[in-house]
Amino acid sequence: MQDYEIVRLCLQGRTEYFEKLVDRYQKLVYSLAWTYLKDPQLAEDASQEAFVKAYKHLASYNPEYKFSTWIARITTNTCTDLLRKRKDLCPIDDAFEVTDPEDTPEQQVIGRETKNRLETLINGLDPKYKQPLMLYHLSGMKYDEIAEYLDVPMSIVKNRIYRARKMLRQAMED
Amino acid sequence: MKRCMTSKSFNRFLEDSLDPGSLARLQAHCRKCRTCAGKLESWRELKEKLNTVSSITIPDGFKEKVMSRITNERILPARTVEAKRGLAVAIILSAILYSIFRPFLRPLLSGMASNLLKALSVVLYNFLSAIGIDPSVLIRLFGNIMASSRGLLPLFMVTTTLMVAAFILLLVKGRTARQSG
Repeated sequence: MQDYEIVRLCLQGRTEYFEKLVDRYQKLVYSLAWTYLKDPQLAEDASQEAFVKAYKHLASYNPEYKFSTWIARITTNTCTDLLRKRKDLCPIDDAFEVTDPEDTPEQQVIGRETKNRLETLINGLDPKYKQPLMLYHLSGMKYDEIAEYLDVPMSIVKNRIYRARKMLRQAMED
Repeated sequence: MKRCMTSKSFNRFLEDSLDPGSLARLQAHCRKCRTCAGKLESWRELKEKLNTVSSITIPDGFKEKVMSRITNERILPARTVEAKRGLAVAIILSAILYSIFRPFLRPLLSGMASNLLKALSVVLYNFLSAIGIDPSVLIRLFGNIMASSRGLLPLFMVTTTLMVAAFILLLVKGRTARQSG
């Protein structure tokens, strides 16, 4: 079932269908919130808030655009509001530092070294390469969704992700 | 030996978007070419690392929590189209009313605009005084500039109007973008 069909059903009062949208986009929303907030509890709160906002404003959703990009924008706005309220805005350069909150301490120690190097390399990338790369790999967005979200042509998104990978591979070899 | 594989082929391998034929060709080539085999290995390594660094787990019961929260919420009516129509109707009505009651409205509106400008001037004057700047110096300076080059006055007025319009547009656009997510 397409996203717009689910939205239509929700608008007709079949709100239980919203669960399908949560199921489809929870990874995208949570990972985006995570990249902004870098705190599991805050990311969860912001993700829940983003879904609630999306639900309340479902009638304003324009099916000409992808639901993924719409909810991604809602998530970004929610995180920005949250950070503004807390006044501890994290620098965007470090925003993609990722640690799995579900890892045990032992797993975190084992994986830390491998992760650290790549994270350092990723954080060292120019934001214009880093952002689409992380949207693709971390948030699981597709090329066309990233293009719509970033408001740039898909060819540019593809090219930037390709160049980011090339730079990472080169840096890893060095 | 056949031509070596390009980085784009390896990139497509990384995102699993190679068709079965191309994948077979890539693997066959890498069995014979040590350079490409090395490249394939480093792309494979990058793929694994990106998957590791990108692994993120959704908190337990996340979906249930969201669904439980939305039971207390209701879907708000769409505002965008209605609001735009309402704004258009309000503008047209205002224009009609203004054209009908122009003789009465004009002096009234001019008076209001004049009072508003005066109030703003007072605020600006007090602000400048409060931060230790003598407003009369600025007023004289501005007056001198305008007196010496009268051609600047229309330019100044147009620039100010454009800046105010751009500021209002930015505010409205930002608000609309935020409302629609």
